[in-house]
Amino acid sequence: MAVADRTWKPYAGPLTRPRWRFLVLPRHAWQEVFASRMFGLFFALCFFVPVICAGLIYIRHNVSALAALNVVPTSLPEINARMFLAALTLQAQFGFLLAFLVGPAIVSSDLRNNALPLYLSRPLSRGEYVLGKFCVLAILLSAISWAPFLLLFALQSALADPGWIAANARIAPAILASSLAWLVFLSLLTLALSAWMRRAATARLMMVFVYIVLAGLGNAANKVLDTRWGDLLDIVKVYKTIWAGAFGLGDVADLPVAAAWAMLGGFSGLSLLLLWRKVRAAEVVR
Amino acid sequence: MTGPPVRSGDAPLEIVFEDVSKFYGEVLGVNRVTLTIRPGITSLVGPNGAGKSTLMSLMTGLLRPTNGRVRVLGRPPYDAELMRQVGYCTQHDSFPPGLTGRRFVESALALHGMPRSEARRRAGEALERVGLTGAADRRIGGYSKGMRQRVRLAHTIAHDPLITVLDEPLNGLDPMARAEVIALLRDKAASGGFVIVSSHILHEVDALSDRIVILDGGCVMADGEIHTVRGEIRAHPLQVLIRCNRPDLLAASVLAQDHVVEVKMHADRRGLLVATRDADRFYLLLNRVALEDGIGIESVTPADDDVHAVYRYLVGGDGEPS
Repeated sequence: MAVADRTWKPYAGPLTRPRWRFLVLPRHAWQEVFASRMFGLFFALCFFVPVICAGLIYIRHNVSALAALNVVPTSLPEINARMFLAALTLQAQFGFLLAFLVGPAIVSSDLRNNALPLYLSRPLSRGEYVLGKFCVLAILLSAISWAPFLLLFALQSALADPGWIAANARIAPAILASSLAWLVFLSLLTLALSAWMRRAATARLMMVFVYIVLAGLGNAANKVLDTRWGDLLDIVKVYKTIWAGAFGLGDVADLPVAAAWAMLGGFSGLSLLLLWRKVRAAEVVR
Repeated sequence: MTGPPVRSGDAPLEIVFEDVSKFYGEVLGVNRVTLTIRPGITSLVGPNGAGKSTLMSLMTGLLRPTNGRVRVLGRPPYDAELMRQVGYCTQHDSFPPGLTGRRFVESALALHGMPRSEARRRAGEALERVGLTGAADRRIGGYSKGMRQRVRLAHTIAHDPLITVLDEPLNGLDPMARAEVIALLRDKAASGGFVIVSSHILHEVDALSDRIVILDGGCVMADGEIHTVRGEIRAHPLQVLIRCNRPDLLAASVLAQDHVVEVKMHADRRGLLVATRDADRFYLLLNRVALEDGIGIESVTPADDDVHAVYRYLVGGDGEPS
């Protein structure tokens, strides 16, 4: 009989569910991120737009508040798809800043410190590692995008008459679809740059490059080739087109909505591919 | 949900490499390695680039072989259930940034599926075992090199793995800490576990290991118990230092034997260095000569029956891996 059979005893207690174990990664990352008071303040600031919108919705439906403020309802912005789109567009700026601050260090620090084998020699696959790191950013972005905006929609639905819900039913799925498309792309792009640049500062520069320089290139292509397809390189225009399409406000869109979706899907797929190639337990030495 | 059994009753208690090769693009990691590792302490020894870390990465599921097959307890090494029984300490001084020692160990336990309270308890125990309780809540970035090595060890053993794989675990440790780590590894081996270490500190490998695997250029040069491996190196006769009261008489007696190839008198004329091709016959001869000729023998010491000599003869150089 082997010696091990005599004395060694494995852990036989309860275990957490394997399916959700990747959430260990974001949990520890958030503890780290929120240890900074400055970041805590910035994160609170990210709720400025939803809070203002909530106030607006509340005041619009509260006669005594309107009277106290001496405001007539018609002087306030109308609560409709256009208002939600404008607020979400503004909120995307905060989202970009949040990704800019948190994202570039998420994978780069592990790669720079050779920490990947520490994760991948545990019962955690490459896919779960990528998913865990993706969740660090995606859940933070969710917390400031679709989650508060769906709550705003619920608040407006509760306060408005039933006719409003019937007329604006597409707002809720539009908030969800447009926010998810945006945050999936932004998270994957940030993680891919984090993995390839290895230094958070360089990854941040590259984020700016992708947003600004690509838009400039697209603009130049438009001028030289006398076309508008160069706008597909302008990520902000791509977002805006997708969101306008989702909210049913085609008049706001600069590009064909399908082309914008295809471009964002392509960018996201490319980012995922680049990220996947870098997340390896051992590097290839050439 | 509870932890499943580590292995079924009939699963082999061994790590098996079957004709395993690993290439990194065009760079050779290991080449056609066939090897079986059993419980106890096994040391991987070899110069830089010999393939030690590649072998460790293969057995911990971090790499997949280009050719051949690796089986750990009868399973593929990347099997998630098996990974729960493996603790791997890399050679890199690597940590996710910003963590305290306690959180570093707790996060590993959480990845193994342990509930938070259990992870906290075990992390405390592991940190105590490596003597880091006092510094557990400080950031690893502020640790000394020796403390970082110890927290990595705590990270490796906290879930009480059956298979502990440590790449250069003694690097950066002071002599006292080295002794403590060696004692800890011996404990793990004594409880029936696999302890696989790579080290370039050969005298510690010699003292620590039940078995060595010598690698060079991605190939296994030798594997087995150190004395057995030494005995099989026929090109270099075994050297035995004998301290006695009549070395000249002993020299005359042993030189007549065909397996004795060289005899050197010690400078103080109180001993002999004998080179023999057959250690067993030589020791029998020595007993007989001592009795028949009345030679008083103070000590008999193999002069090159250690990992230094084995390494020097098989790999070359000065007997110290770089």
